[in-house]
Amino acid sequence: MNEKKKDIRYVGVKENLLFGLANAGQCFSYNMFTGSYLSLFFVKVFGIPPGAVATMLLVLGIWDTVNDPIMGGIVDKTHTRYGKLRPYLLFVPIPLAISTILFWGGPLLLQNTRELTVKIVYMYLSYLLWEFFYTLGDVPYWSMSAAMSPSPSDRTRAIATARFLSGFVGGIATVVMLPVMIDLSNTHKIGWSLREVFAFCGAISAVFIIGLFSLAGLFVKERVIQQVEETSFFDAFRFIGKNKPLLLIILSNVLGTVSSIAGVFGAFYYTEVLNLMSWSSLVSLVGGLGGLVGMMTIVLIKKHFDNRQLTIINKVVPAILGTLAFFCGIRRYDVWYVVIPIIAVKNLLCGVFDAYNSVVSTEMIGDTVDYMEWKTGMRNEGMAFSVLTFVGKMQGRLSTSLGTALLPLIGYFVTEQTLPDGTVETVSNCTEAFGQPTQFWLWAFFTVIPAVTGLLAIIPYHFYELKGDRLAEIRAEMKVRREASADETNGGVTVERG
Amino acid sequence: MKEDKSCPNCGKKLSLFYLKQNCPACGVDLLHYDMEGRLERDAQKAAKEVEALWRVLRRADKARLIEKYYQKKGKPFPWEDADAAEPPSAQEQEDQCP
Repeated sequence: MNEKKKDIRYVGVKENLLFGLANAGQCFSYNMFTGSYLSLFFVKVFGIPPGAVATMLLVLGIWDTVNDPIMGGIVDKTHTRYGKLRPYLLFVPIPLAISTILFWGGPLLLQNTRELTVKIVYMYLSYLLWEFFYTLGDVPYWSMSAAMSPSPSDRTRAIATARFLSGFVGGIATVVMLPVMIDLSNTHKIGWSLREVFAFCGAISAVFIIGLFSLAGLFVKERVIQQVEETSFFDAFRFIGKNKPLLLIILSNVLGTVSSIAGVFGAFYYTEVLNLMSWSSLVSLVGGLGGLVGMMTIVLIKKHFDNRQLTIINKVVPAILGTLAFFCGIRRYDVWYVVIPIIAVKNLLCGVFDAYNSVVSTEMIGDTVDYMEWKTGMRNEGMAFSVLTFVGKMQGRLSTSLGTALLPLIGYFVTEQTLPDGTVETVSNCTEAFGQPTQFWLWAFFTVIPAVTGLLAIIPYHFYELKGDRLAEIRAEMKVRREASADETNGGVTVERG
Repeated sequence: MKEDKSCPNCGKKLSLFYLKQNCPACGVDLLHYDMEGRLERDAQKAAKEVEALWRVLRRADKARLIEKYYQKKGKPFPWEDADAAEPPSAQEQEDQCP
């Protein structure tokens, strides 16, 4: 195989852009569900005790471990004239939008309910519903990045565009819309309670899902020939066990879970220590600039480092930056003009490496799909990418659950008080723990602790072998096999399914 | 979705909600029908779009920064690549590494 030879491009500029915009619409909604705001929403807005929230996130996190691979298996068993992924992308946006509105509108719908049980039941049901439809769209979406073209450079471009656009357009939800709306509500600049703010933001998310996420199903095509043989549903599960590189990626992500608690403590740090959520917008925008630089330089960087090396670098650099940030702000972590520049610089640099990581991690899953096709003759995008989505969600749930459970341990408590109009308001209190004020622990869990524990994720990559020449050999061999497969299916007349 | 409206082999009109992989009239595999030909057409379309994009970028780049950069690096201009983009032949597709 000649590595220098230019790849043929099958995915045009428009299709690439539409694929990216679809992810932007999806992420606009998803970002609201990630660690930073979910905990705040349940505890402070819905008035559910942290213990119950942590339990729910853990229980549904376990459900996710089953849910995603099942969805991946179903996708791999789907055979339609649109492909195995597109039907889901066409159908899912509408129910996903409805479940998003129901989820964020919960506190508004139940604002006069004092029954904690009713609130908890609603929390479980609405979250389960949203989670179901999100998985139904997310697994096929990322599987599409490997199925939309046989060309590796097309895949890199598609993933980079999707990650870039989702970082910017998708980031509007958590970087601009929510923090600004929360501040406007808290400072009584708008006459909305936090319940109304979250319900409004949920409705906006639903609009983005319908308007943008639908684009993937409408305009993106599948171009990789799928195997003709039928596989059983359980074969798809066995597939994960045989796929050693994929197992190593899963293990690495599991080990790196604790590093994600930074998001949970970040939200509490901005609201409880700096008393202004909008600061998070500013520093996230700086992080977005770093992300832009990362996306622009990813092709250049990939000339010097393979995916495995880049992944290791992406773990080491944030650990160093997180530690430096912690010590730079250790004495003045409650003074905004000291910590905001520190966090901004850290975010700028981390943003570059986050951008590399987001592209490389998705590409590596695509590599494991090719690897399994080479090893077993079966191509299981659905199952492989369900692992990517499962790991991402599991990290989010576990870290949010862990972070929320840690809140009382560091001296953070919430109490309820009834206002004269009969509505119930939640009030938070910061005390101290282990001889340090709660604010100090919020700073530590926001910076140094997640950064250093994230280094554990490097260990599995020591055993990861899908790199350099070996990967090139696999791809070359796959080229020959796919030609044979194309001959078998070309014309299609001889290949009839029942 | 335009190309999804009829069978590419027999021309039978298909409802958007007809999901089966084979044409109800001629039995052809609708997903994989003429895959190589479709890839070739997609490659031509993609090449045209890239060419159009570079044309827009050249027009927008009043200071000729792109041109200067590529001259300095001694590399061919990217629009020359795009201009020269011929539809890939079957041989080229064979040489391509998937």
